Amino acid sequence: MNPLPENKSIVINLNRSFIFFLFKVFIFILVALIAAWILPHSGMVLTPLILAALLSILLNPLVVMLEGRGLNRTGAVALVMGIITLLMIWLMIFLAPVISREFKTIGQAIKNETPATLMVKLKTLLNKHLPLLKNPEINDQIMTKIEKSIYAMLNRSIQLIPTILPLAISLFLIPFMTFFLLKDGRRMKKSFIQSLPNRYFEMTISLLHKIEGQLGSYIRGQMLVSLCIGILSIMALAILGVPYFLIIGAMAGLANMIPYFGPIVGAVPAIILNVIDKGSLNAALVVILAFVLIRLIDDSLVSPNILGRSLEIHPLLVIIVIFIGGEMFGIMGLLLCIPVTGIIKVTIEELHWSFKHYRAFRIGS
Amino acid sequence: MKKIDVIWGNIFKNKGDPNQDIRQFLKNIPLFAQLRKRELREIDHLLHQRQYKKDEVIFWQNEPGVGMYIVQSGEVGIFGDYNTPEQQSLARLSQGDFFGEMALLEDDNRSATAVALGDSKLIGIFHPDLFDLFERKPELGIKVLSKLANMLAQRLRKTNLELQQLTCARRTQKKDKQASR
Repeated sequence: MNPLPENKSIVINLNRSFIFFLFKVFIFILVALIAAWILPHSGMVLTPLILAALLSILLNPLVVMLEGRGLNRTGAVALVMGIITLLMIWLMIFLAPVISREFKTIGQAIKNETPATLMVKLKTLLNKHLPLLKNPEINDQIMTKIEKSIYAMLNRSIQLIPTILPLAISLFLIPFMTFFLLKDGRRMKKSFIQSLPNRYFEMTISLLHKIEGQLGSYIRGQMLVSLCIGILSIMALAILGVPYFLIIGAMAGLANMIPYFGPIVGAVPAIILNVIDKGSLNAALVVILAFVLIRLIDDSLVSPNILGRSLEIHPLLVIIVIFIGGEMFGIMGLLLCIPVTGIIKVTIEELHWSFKHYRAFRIGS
Repeated sequence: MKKIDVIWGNIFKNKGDPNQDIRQFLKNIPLFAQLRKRELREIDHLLHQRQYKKDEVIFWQNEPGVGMYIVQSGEVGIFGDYNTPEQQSLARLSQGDFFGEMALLEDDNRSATAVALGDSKLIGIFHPDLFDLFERKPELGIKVLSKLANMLAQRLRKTNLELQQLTCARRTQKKDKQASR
């Protein structure tokens, strides 16, 4: 039999590679469609999974330290998770009376202070301090607008609060997922690397190592900064005698994880409650001053020392991401959108570095 | 199949040990020869087994290196300026030999290209995993590191000796040339 003419074999090869290319495009579109279909329904699992992944990054150094002392991986993970559970139980026992007392008084306050009574209080307060508002027409217009926005804000906050069922599922899923991510994370990573083609294999090891390192220090840093801000806020609000200082201070620490908006979100409830409690606008000023001081301490002392050279995300991107996160996944989305953006940013940066340094990445090489 | 093992392995634990032959192979490699069974099992978790076809490049010269490879079966060629007119064959490695070990210790680019000369099975050990081992099992880490340093020192001594011999040969050649003039 005669061998195939050279140009004919080239045509066959081209056809084969074209079919393979089409097959790859088809698979890509299929995966993208499945992802687009799953994503809106995945909040119940995705949010706990992200939280568990962040927790496992946070706790991994502790597990490694225990392994260094002679414990095996499973034992070290079990010990860390056990200690954390005990700590949570102890905190609950210790803080439960204080928190329940605060919630009870909040409940009592809500019973006494409906938005309507709140408006009357605010009206008299503003009339007293701002003579311009004594004109009844302007006064009424402003008051209706404020009242409308308070109702809108309340509605929005209620929508943001996760319902009890997903919360209960999350409370069960998060420790469970964290345990297995800590215990088997290394094996999962190895299996993933094992499945890669030879040309991308070594590069992926380097890529994953760099992403893990940067992300680990970023997340640990963010959590530590939030803890510091939370403690500082609780202390400042307690000194100023702001009601429910424990809950509001803790919320301010947690909200600090959301850049730009976080500190405002943390300060606003404290300002409103202090104004209502003390009945003067000076009370607002004092709280604002305290939060500005905490911000200054954070910017000059806490963040530079803990975060160092952290991930810098452009303010515009931060705002867009916060809105998308809030819209799609509520409060959890607001809190997690920045760490997730951090993960994506580090991955893109490291992929770009690999693209420049490894020839396997360049198409056609 | 491996992926499924990771997920289901905790519930339906496999009693057999599929990696027994790798550990047996490692026991015969000077770098791990002094390790105990338990320590070998720990090392085994860090290793990556890869298969390469004939003429497949394992790593390229001047690309960032992440770790070293041990030849489990087959043959590997080390080349300078691979696929260029100046290509030089630097070494031919077979079962039990290792290469790329400098990348385990320093963050530098590969000094040569490694190519599989026939269908080959390699075992890779990488910088991030080794440094993770130092943190988790410092004693074992020191054992591996000291053996690695020992082998690198042996290679350096051998290179020094070859360099001395080469310099001597050149000097003799020069003297001979001068004498013949």
